[in-house]
Amino acid sequence: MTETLLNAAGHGLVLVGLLFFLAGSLGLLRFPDIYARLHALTKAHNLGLGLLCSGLALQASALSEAAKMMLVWLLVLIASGIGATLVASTANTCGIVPRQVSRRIRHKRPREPKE
Amino acid sequence: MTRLPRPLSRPGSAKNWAWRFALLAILWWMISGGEWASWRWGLPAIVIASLVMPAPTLPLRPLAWLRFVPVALWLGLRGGIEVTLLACRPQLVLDTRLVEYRWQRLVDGPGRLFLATLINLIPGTLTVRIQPHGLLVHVLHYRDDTHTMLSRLECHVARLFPGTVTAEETP
Repeated sequence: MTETLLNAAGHGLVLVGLLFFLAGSLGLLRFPDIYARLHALTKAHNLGLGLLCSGLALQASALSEAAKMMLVWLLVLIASGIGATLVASTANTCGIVPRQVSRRIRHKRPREPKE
Repeated sequence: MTRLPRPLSRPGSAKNWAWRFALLAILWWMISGGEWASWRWGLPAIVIASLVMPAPTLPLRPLAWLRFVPVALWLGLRGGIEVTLLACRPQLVLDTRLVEYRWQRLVDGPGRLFLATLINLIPGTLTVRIQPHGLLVHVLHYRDDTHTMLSRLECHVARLFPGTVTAEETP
């Protein structure tokens, strides 16, 4: 009974994690510049990975396996946190200017004027 | 005035060695999947590694770190949800800005580096540059409480790392 519940919870967490991965990838495509895209990578993807690893940890057959899953998440968190600063810092040094003005970004193509 | 970190135990002291040994043993247990046979050559490797590993430059505060884990998890969850909501809106509305955050408590050292890395994982903020007087932070969707949130986070990190200045002592 407990195993069934743990498996169900694990599957649920994996599924929600995948949704965060999907949303992060959407942000990567939709966000306007490199800095904003880094937000999608470091936040949504990390949360997705955390849920994925937690889901797999719940389904693990041994405690050490579950701990290994969480270790994977921890290492990726550290790497992505440092990596994001390095990429942003390099972009800033290269003169890529982040969008600083409040703006509404529309993805609809503007209508062409009638001739 | 800067309060200096309390003196460290000697790098080669038994207490320090025991901490390193315990940490490496836990890592080995995770990586090896808890197989007893792997300890035959894992144990000597752990002993040698814990002897040659450099001692931490700051005293450990395990309880403060344990208290910090739920805070970090909560912030990470909020950060992920916020970005997800922004990315999934049919009409993308962003108020992105670069803001300067001046150091209030942390002095130069690992505490500042940790905060700069941590900022990348919390809602809507990204460290662009670490400067002597503060951080240059990219905010995905600016809110009035962004500075307050960063300041609160610095307080949390200051509890983890010794060698901080108090708010009263900050000019």
